Amino acid sequence: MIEIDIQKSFKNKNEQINFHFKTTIENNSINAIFGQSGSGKTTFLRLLSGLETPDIGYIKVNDKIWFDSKKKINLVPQKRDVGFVFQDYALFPNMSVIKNLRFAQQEKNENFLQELLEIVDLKELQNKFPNALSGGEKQRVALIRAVARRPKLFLLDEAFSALDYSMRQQLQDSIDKIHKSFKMTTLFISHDISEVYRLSSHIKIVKNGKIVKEGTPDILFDNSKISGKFKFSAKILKIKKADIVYIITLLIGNNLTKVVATKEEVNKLNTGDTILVATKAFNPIIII
Amino acid sequence: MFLETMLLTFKVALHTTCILFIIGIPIAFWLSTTKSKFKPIFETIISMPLVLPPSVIGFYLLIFLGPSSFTGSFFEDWFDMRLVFSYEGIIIGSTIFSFPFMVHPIQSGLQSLPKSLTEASYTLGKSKLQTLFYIQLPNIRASLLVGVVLTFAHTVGEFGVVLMIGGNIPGVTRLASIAIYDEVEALNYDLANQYALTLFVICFIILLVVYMMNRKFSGVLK
Amino acid sequence: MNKIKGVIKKITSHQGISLVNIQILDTLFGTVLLDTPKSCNYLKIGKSITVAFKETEVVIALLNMGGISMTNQLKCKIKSIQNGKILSKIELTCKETILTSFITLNSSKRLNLKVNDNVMALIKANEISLIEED
Repeated sequence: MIEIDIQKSFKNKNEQINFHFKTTIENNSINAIFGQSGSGKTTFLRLLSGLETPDIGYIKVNDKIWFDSKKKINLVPQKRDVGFVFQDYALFPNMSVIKNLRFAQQEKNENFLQELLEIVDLKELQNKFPNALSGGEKQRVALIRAVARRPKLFLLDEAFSALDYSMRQQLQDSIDKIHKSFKMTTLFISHDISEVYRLSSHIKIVKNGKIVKEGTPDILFDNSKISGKFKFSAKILKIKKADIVYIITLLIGNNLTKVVATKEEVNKLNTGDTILVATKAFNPIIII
Repeated sequence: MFLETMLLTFKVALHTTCILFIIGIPIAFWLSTTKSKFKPIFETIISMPLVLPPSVIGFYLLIFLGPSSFTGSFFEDWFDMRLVFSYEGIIIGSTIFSFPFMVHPIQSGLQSLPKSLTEASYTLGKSKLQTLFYIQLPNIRASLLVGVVLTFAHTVGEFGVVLMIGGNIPGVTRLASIAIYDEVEALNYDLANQYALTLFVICFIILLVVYMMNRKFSGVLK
Repeated sequence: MNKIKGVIKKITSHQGISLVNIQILDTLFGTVLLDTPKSCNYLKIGKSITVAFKETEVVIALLNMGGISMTNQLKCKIKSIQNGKILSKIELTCKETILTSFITLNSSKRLNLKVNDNVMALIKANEISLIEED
């Protein structure tokens, strides 16, 4: 288990910003960090990885202390045994894909690297240089490079944000497969509820530099503990009045659907909002 | 005589460039990462040769390295080495004078690299030194090349500092730029032209090669 | 979405399907779920729960009808009627609780519904979802 209680404050223009992250992370779990931009998600990961230093507090990973301001312990990033996937991929341009991976390994193990390349479907591209790869391919290389030295803690900073829908799907698949194969404790930042649902078992909602809510992904919605088995997070694309009801056009995954809503419901909604739609498992008809 | 002067000129340039390459990298690295409040002072000192007349630097070097100065007498007593009007003297002079031409390109090259590259290397367990040699320097090859070439070319073309601290001793401190001045004074226009044209052609070729290589590098790194 | 608070009174489970009976006002509602007390921690007798169902699933019947298979029946009074071109929105009160029903305009006219009429609101057992609210 990872126990965290860290604080950091700094000045941004004239505003004093105080971050205080207090939480625990179970071993081998996959956790989503969810929140608005500027809420402190990236800082949280950087503090965990040692790229930034908290003012006070402690980080304890399975009884090993990574940081403790009282005991004046602060392990450098090199000693923390983390895999960090950067938003801009951070692949080394002077090395081919396979050399990027080899550079990441402490003990040489070529078979393991080939296995990783296989998982993310990049075996054919291993001798290419990063500038010859697409965004999605770069991101997958960054992913397995961070895994190559089998870190205890796997951190993904907004790994998905620059990718289009099908690339995101592919990357989500890769993360899922990697987690199933190696079971590292994983934290990833996401703005996308469907992504959170798909990948994570736990979610931590960050707001104004604090973890305000944590639990299963269902806590994202107020009426989340609904019994319906047929439930999806959906993005509102359009709200249109029809007769005395309203028709809401929704994007679920990459499918468009429509649901009927009342005026009272529509009053609380805006296009672009993410909602949970649910119905009972008894209702959908099945067409082959 | 002509050949001797030309060879000496390029020997000085080569030595100066090698020395500056070795000491320029750690200094540029320190400047690119330090959060010290004294950083502007160091940057100013390093940039001074860009604005000061070369004769000013030459003059102070003469004072500080001369046989009657502390440094000068120290080297003379302990190493039997004279620092003014000698080969060592012009190496010291051109090293100091070309400092910004090596440090600035490397420093700005290091600073323009995305921070995430070094951070990625650190999180992969690599030390600062490993990161510098395997990640940072290979990715600023273009800047290194610019630093090396500017230093070399600038040393070849230097006049004031070398004249002040080296004098004009044929085969020891008489460099091509001084020789041109000398020959013109003696009205040997043909010989002056020979020096001048040789310097012109060689510098042209060096710069041309650099720009062509640079294009290749930036193509790789984009 | 219509929401009414109730209390779980009885749970009958068989092979992953449960019939849950919930006391709502003075009637006992039934709902069928693909959950059992083992798979779902709020399925406990005595637990307060909210039942939820969509407006379009509320059937309106006149009081003088004969027998009907639906278990979930609430005696209501019509509070308001708002007619569109195709649909009709009927607001009902059952004691203090307000329910909404969307039926077709044709049905509304056929039944000759008027404000203050007493009617039955019927909801099929498999249309009801449960929500645990903190």
